[in-house]
Amino acid sequence: MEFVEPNKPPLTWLLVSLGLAVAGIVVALILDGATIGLVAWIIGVLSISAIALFTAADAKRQESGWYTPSAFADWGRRAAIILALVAVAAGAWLIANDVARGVWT
Amino acid sequence: MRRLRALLVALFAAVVLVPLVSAPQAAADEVGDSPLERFGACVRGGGQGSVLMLFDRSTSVRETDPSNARVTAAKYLVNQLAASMDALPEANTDVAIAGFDHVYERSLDWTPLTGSNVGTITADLDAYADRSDGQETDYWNAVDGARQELAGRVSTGEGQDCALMIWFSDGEYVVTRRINDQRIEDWGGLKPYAPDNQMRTPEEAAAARDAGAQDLCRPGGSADQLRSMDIVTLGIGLAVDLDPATFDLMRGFATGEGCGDITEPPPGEFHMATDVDELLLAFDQVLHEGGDVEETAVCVDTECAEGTRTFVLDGSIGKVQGLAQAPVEGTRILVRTRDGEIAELTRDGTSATLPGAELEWQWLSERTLSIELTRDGQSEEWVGPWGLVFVAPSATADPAQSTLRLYGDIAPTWVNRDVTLRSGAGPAELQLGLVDGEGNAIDPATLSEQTFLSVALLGPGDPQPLATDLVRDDMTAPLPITLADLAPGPRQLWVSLDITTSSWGTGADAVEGTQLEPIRMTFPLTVLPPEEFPTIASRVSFGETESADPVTVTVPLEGDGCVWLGGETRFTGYPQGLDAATLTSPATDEANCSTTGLELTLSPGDVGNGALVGETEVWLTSPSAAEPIAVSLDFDLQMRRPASQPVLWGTLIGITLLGIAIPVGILYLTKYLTAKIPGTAVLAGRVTGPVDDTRAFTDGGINIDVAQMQMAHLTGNRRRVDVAGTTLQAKMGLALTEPGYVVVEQPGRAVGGRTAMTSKGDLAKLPLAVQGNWTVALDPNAPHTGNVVVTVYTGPGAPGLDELLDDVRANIRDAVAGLREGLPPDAQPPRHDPWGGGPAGPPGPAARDPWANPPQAPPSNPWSNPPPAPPPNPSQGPARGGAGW
Repeated sequence: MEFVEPNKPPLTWLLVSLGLAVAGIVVALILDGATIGLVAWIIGVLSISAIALFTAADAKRQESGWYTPSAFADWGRRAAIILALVAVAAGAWLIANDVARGVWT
Repeated sequence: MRRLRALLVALFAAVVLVPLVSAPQAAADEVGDSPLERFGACVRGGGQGSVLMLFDRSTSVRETDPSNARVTAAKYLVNQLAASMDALPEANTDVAIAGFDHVYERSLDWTPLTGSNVGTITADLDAYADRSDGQETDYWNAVDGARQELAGRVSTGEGQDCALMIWFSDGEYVVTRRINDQRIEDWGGLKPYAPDNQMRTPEEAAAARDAGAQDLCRPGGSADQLRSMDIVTLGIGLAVDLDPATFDLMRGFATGEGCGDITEPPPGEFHMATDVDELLLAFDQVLHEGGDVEETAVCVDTECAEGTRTFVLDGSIGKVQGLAQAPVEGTRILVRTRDGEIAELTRDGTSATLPGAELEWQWLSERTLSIELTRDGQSEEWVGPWGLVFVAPSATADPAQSTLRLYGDIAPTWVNRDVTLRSGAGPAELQLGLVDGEGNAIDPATLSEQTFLSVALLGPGDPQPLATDLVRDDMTAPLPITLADLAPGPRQLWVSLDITTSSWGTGADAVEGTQLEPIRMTFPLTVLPPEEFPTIASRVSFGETESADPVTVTVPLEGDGCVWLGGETRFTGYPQGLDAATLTSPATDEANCSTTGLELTLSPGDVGNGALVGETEVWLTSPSAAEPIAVSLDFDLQMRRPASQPVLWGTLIGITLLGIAIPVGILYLTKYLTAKIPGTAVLAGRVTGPVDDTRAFTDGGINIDVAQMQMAHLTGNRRRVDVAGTTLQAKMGLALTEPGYVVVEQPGRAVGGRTAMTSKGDLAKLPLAVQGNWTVALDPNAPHTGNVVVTVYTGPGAPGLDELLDDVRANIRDAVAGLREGLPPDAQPPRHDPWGGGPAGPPGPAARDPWANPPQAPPSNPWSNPPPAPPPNPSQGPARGGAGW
């Protein structure tokens, strides 16, 4: 008898998204300036894009009906989206702060 | 260009180890030197060096510097400086790199200038070869960015700080017009120095430029602010067929000619270069404080005496560095050893081993190469005449040019730097000495007789010579310094060492020793107040502010005594419009002086961009002193205009919304695109029967044959699929963090899923991949007592169907109970007892045991479209006469 492993959520994309989101926030918090803000903003966008890829890949894996849901994937997705939005907002703040002062650092 | 070379020679001279050929002997009247020499001496004396390289990124650079000479020259500069730093144990210099066009932008943070970091620094410099797409040349923003960058390096008040800005630009101050608000925002908003100017027309743009230029050079303006912090400026004008007048503003800013009030000591230097070869040669001299470039005739085809530059090495010299420049492309450059051996410096080679030396070279351009000749241990073949030979393919009237620097391994040092120097005290003694590159002491007796040491004290007023041309026997003797009339405050000890190497050879063939360039160093020192007086810092920083509110700091007082603010406060630099700033203290005279510290309040009076810097006089007294004494106190406050609130919030909201909208849009788009039922087909089977709290018609098993299931192919519309009397409707869903789902349209209240059953309103809700899930629906006419309809969904091959049916059996009672919860009682009872067989009635399907395995749905052709579900008929009631279909 052959045992077939059930499909699982593609956690790699989720971890990539979480990592990018955290990196974006850290960059925005530690460093300063509009250029850094732009970097954090882009990282945030990439993080959400990784979530999108995760969602697409996850749906694909559920096709077979032989799929094991994961609580980590559910909460990880929510956390990644929130963190990525924070990274985007923090980046936007750095950009706006410089633009409002007539400088770009 | 010759002037450029001569001037550039000064700067980093100090940075480098040693002397070189044909330099004048140090003399007291040379104390102070050029701005670049000042910086070099400061670094060699142990000061923390900070070099900011500032590059023009405007588009015109593509035309004025098509070969990226600025990058090549800057990399050469960095390499040479790094080599110098590695050889100077007490020298520490950090480098930062920034570019400017309409804004200032740092590309490399402060990085220690060491051999191991050269790769990082030059990699960043390389990137400037492609950074030439800026629309403006905004000098004000460039200078203000540099000021902020360097202010943090020189405002610490700890130790000696040596700051240098190397500024590359190719043209005049240019501000271009903005055609709309978007362009204003794209180009960094309104100009801080012209906040009301929209720059919509060329005239308005020119007015903004004029305002910036005026603010740069006004008394107390940006130029004075940098000079107040003793930041040396080296301006390099990249000029190809440009009128020198184009650089008037840049030149004035760097040198002080017609720009700013602070012109002493000379604030900096400005030079123009037209190509990479000239720039390399100029930088080489800047680095190494050489004399004039030596010109040599060029041989044709083969080496000759006329085309040879001869230099003599002796045992005190460990290394030779230089730059050689051929007059025409194709010229061969050779090195002739003392023994007459010839080594050609080929373009594809980089090193060679010669008798007595290791030779390394690098071609920096088609005509210019750098060379380094290092002595091989203590080889005697090193000592003697060497030659640099230029051989051209054809005769040319233009000479070759070269600079050579002969390095010893020696520098002066101040040994007893911990000596206490107090104003009014008796004479103190300074102990000087000589050290090698690793800090080891050198006995002056080992040097030639033509070695001299000069010492002076720098500070307010004229330099005070302490010793001139000390001979080698007197160099390490304690040097007395008179403190009786020396006012308290910071000073610098300036030391210059002049060496002439020993002569080589005898008789008619004798070669005179070589006089090397003086090695000049400055060491910081502080003359303390007389012993009975307390002490107070000579410099205080008020930090940074964005408001016009006064800033207060307390400068601690150490020792017994009292302090107050007196005399005149002079602001040597201030942001535009802040010429009414004040410095006050509650301690204004001896009657209300402070014994713990001097509280100072700096009131800018308004907001602005720039540094508020100046100096004041504070008075100290002590219980045992009859008269108070005055000491100077430098101060600074870095100011930044607060953000424009409308612009800040408008931009913040706009960019935030954009930043969120784009990824959210991507997410919704992805959700929409993926909100489809996956797979190639859906198979559905349907059974019906009674369920109550204790029994379910599925308890005995669910008789569903895969062959009897209905199939819907997923080849077209995957968002709406009809199968087995149900309609599967894929939904994207608004919840951002949730995936899409499917609602099942069928009669009656229903739930769906697997194990955990969910619904959307009264409709069953399934994941997008409906295969492997099931739904149960109540009878719409008799939800409490009527039969329920169970529909199972699977895929081709029915993977996991048995497990799915097990899930149905295990969860159907809870699912149905949940569905019935809260529903009103059925309007009319069923016409027969579904739980009994019924005593009457004709035998037939209705008489069958409803708790038995239900029959399957009638067979149908699974490859055809499923028959439409029978329309609900309230009058008929549920599954009359039997269970299932």
